[in-house]
Amino acid sequence: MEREKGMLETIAEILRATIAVGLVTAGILAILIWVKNLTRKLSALRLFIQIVSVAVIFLGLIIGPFGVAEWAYLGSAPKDIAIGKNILGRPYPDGLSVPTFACYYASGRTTTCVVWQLQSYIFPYWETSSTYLTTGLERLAIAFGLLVIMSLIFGRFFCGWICPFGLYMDLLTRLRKTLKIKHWSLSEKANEALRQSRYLIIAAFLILSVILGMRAIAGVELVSESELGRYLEMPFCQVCPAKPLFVLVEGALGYMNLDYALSQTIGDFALTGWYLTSINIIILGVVTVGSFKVRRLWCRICPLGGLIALFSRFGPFKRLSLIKLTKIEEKCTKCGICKRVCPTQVTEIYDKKGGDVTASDCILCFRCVEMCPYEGCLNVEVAGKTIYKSKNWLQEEEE
Amino acid sequence: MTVLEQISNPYLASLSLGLLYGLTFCASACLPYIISYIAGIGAGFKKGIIITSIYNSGRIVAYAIIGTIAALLSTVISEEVFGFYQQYSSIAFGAAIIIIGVTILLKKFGTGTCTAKKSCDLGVSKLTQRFDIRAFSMGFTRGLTLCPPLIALLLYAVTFSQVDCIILTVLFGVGTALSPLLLLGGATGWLLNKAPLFRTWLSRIGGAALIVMGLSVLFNSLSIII
Repeated sequence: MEREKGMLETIAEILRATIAVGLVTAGILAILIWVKNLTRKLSALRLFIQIVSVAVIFLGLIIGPFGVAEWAYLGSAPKDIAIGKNILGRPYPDGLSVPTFACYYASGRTTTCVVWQLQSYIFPYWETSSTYLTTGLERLAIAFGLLVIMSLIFGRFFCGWICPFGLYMDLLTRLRKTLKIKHWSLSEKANEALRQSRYLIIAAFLILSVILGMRAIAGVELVSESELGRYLEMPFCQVCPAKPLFVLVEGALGYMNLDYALSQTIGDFALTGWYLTSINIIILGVVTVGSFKVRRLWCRICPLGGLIALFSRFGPFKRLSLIKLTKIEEKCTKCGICKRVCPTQVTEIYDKKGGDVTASDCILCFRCVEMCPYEGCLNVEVAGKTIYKSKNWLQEEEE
Repeated sequence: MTVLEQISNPYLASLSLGLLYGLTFCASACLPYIISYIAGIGAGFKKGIIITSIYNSGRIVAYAIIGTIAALLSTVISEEVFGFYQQYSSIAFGAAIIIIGVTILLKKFGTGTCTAKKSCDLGVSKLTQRFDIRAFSMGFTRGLTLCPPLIALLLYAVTFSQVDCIILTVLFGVGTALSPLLLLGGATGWLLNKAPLFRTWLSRIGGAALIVMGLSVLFNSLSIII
């Protein structure tokens, strides 16, 4: 036992060092791109950071404590020791809250999607009234607080640069480009409808998890003698396309016991299961096919992206937002490149007359800045300081 | 009744009981109605909070009336009496939300948030527009429907003087009103307002949901009576 503990501590140290090295490398690359203004290589840098982020998010699964993890919750896994423990002096085994699809259901996670945490922590089915008022509310405050703080600091930068599901969609786009297949652009109305629908999804999952969770706390079983309430308490997770993707990838890599995951379905309600649900898989299929033709399709309706947008682009939060995309109107010739290259078909950058042009559906991938051929027309500002700007790459090519 | 037993001060005990149930059971029981109504009329954040407050004030008024009646009839009050009364009060609540659902669908009455000028002008006074009578009547009829914690509180309150009995029920109502329901009402209004393309459909769904829930309450009560 002592030997195992010692080994875990060593692994945790390795993890900490790896995360530190990854972050330092990403930082050096970011500085290099800033100093040398490697404008046209931004997409490559983004891909690199996305891959590093995915590795960091799921690092715990790569080095499991007892070989193949049988189920997602591993209270003594290295990732728990490394990151997700002892926040405010309490164990925090579900992983650090992040506003990306860092799925809870995947084993060995270092971080957890804040949507799962909000749904689960609002009124957890496992809590009693007394424990809810202490640890339950504290956990909820940590998850919600981190969501607001991270949204204010990074905004939807998470979507463009860190989200594992975003990487999945970007890889599909790269595959489509390799096969020389043209993408589809949605009509403005359809895009707007998708964009607005994410707020309805947030409202729906919030209301459902509150109603179901509260009733569970009050001791009312909604569906007697079944575990359905347990699943419905996290309603969005039962339809999220990222959940089966991560579970299946981990299963395929041998870091999660798929037999166990597949066995966790419940009787007559065969559609619902703990790790994989038929609804999840169908939605993943639809999103995969859709994302192959339509760039970043899921990002347009993603409720997590919507939540970040709510706390970074609307009302009082907008002024506090740290990362901004600005435009100098005098330098813009209305060529429309920014509109065409945008993976989520944001039109505000093209339409708005200068100043802060960051839109709620902009994933801050800075593809528009990268491709804008007018020197300093589009700028990326962090806390009011320009760290990256568009460059006249057409002239450079001619030279 | 652990809260009432644990806290010696009856006023504080009633308020605490209200807060506890407001945080859990009340919010869960009221949320579907209030959310459907907010969706039905297309309220935003502020209006959502105002509507929820008016709904809660309706409940507090109802509790005050029930408290007064209980204080006056303290000698005949029992769980059986409450059970008998509850069947009929549920019918009133069911009927009220059906009517509210129908008015939303028919857009007969404005609430100050209606977009079509015609529907706003349709015989609705300024007072009605400022004070949402539908939200109040929904809360009032809901308050008249006795829930198990309120029955327990009433049985506890009738052991005190008549004035104290009324104060205790009102304090319970104030406690339940200070629940996350207020914030959830506002947050839902805020979120739904961010989807103006779906407003018409949301309004229809909200109205229809109220009718369906009203019918469910109505039939449940009638089936018990018959």
